[in-house]
Amino acid sequence: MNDSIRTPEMTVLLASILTAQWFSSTGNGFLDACGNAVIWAILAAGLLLTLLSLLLVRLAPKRGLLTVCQERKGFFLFPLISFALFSLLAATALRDTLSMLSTFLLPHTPRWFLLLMLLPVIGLAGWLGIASVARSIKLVGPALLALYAVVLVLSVWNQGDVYNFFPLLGNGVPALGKTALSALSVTAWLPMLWIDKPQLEGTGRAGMRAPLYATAISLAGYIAYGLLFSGGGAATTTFPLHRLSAAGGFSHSFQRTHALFVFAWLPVQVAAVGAGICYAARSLHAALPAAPGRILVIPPLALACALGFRDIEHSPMWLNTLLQTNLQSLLVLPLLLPMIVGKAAERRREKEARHA
Amino acid sequence: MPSLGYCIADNLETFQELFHAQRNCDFIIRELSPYGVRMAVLYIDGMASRTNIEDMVLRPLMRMRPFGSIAPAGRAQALMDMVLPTGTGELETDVMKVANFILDGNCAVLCDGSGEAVLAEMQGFVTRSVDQPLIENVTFGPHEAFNESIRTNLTLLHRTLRTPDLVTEMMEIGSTSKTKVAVVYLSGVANPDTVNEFKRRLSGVKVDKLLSIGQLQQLIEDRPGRLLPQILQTERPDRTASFLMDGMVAVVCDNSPYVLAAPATFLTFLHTPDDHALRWQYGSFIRVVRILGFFLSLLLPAVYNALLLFHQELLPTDLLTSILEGYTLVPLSVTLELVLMDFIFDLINEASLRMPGSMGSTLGIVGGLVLGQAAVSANLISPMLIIIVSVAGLGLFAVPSYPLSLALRIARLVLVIASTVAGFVGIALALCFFIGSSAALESFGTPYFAPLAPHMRHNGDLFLRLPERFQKKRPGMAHPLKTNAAPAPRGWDKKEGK
Repeated sequence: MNDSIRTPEMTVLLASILTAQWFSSTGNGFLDACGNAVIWAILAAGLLLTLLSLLLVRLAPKRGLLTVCQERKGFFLFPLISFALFSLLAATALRDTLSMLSTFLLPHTPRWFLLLMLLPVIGLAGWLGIASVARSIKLVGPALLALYAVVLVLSVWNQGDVYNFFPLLGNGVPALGKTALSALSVTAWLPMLWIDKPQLEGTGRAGMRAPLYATAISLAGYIAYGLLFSGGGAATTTFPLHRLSAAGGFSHSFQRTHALFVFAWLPVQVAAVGAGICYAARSLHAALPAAPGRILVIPPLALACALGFRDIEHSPMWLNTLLQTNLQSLLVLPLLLPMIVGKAAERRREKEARHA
Repeated sequence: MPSLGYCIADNLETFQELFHAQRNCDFIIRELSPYGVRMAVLYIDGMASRTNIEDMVLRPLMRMRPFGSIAPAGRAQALMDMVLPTGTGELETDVMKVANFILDGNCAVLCDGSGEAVLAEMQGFVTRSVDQPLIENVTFGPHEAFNESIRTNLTLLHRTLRTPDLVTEMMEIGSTSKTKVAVVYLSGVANPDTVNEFKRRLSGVKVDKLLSIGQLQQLIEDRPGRLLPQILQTERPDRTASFLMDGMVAVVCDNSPYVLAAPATFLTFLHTPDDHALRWQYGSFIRVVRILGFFLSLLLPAVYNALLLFHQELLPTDLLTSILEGYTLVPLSVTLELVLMDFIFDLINEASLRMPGSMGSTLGIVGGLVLGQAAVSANLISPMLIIIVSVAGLGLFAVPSYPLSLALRIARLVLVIASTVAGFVGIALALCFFIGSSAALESFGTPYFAPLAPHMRHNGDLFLRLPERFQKKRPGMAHPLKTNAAPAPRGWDKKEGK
């Protein structure tokens, strides 16, 4: 099967994952810490993300993440870290999806039934592979983007207020810094998706386009979101994406329109869950190359379902901390550090060889 | 394989045994002995043209001069060179090849003393004439369609594409039926990998009989278990020629008025020749209408069901009141109504296909109007539902590809069930499932949703049709060897000539 992914598909996929992380997860933590200056925190995170991506381009310009992991000592460990990282991504997105469905659309439906409904779709996404997920979301991407743009423009028109940008430092520099780091953690694992070089076709040596475009799209959306709500009202906002749809200007024509936007955010959520499961399965395959590839979809799928099934109120604190605060992105550091060390050692050897 | 002997009596006995001549009245052996040399003409009555045989074989043989100094072994060659005025002629020694030639509707001439048979093409069986397309009707394009004769179909293609690069590779499929199948492509344009893959799949088909192109399609498709078709079927020579020019490969099958073409992508099933025959503004417009009709047919019944069951708040109050008034006395649920009406609609459609011409259209009118009106009057269904089902049905008929329209009917039913379970959420999940599983499909190595996903080169002929002067490149879906299709479509125009 032709499983190559090109830049447009990867761009839309990454934008979808970013959207699922930023717009579907609760934004309370950001806004409480930072107030209206959350915009600057997100921008700073985006800048850091770009620098991080450049660093990774330098470290492994032509190799994929899993290839890099296999070249390092203890190669069994790194794929498992990667497996954990992406399974948690899938679990977070799945939990958010279930919460949005049970809160706003199907409040009387048991959560287990909602999971049962989602299972064939996310299972299929994992089974078919990341290329199919990327192609599917790319297919509907322009329509979703247009829908988001319409909602954002109408919302900004109705409720936009540039004074939401001020005060510039919000609740102070420390809070701003903390929020920036927290925002970065949401996206820190994205360069690892980019670094899946063998899957990307035609990206050339730089290969920066997909994550850059995706970040730019998501940042633009989030800045617009920041304009919509004043400091007081925004503090109680959860599930910003749903809030956006409710704030849109369609209420003059229809009584309540938020149900329609399930066609916009559900594919995005499914793509995020599917991508997490696909990459987790590939990571597991790197650790266990002898095992049949598609069967390895089952462990991350089961793990995501197990972790994501319960809502925030009924989950233990450690699980809420793990899923809601994006701490899982810290798993990236154990992967990056040996790459940096290895690259430094390689350069030292080259230098010594030149002098010799 | 047994070969012909030098004794005509032995050869005749071989063929009589092979064709069960004692019981088979169709197999004709016409013997004659000009100047004492025993000869025989073998053919199948009804398949070969008796008139041509009489004029071009028997008469020349009866009037021939004696062989003279020509050795017995060379008599067959002499007949072919000097006596028989047939357009094609060759010599054959293999018994089975001679038999297959006779079975194709030709005749073979045996001569005593010669171990070779003279093969002469004499086909004269009756076939349907070139007629108008049954399904792929157009307003502005040509009105010729393929028929059941492979030779006629290949001739139509040769007439449309007068280039020596049009290659036809013939093979036989079916151990008993020995159906002729031709792989047609443009040499230098079609990707050799695609051609070889076609030949590999066709040569791997081991069946007893091959009676239709539809059967062959299911045997060579990438995923025959999926809902969406992955190979195009067309009955139009102009459309086939267009596919060949884009680098696709076509398969022509004897006894089938349809031709297969691949690699096929989803959007090619929604294109018609009218899109190109008309000006780009009109072509684009009708294409958009057709695509909207497709989505309307797919989604309208399910959305209606979801709105009434789960999301009544989305409807304006007046509209909601009007709809609910129609449901006051209706005993059935919305879902049951939809499924029932859909079923009746499909039933009327199927029944009208089986009826002779005028009765079929009458049945459609009777079934649609009378049944629908009667059902509303009897309070079995609501009036709004008639509109929903009718509009969805019109959208279905706007789809040019019959296999795709059948897939659409099934998908529509699944979406209605999904909307019954969970409203818009169910529809969205079902659509995610369909799109995801379809995105993984391929047609001879080309992803099904190319050039949208993955992004590939295209010539501006997807949802809208760009003006002809912009369509200079071949689309990349079939990976053609030559990408330039039209160096200067409006070369006479000074602006474009620069």
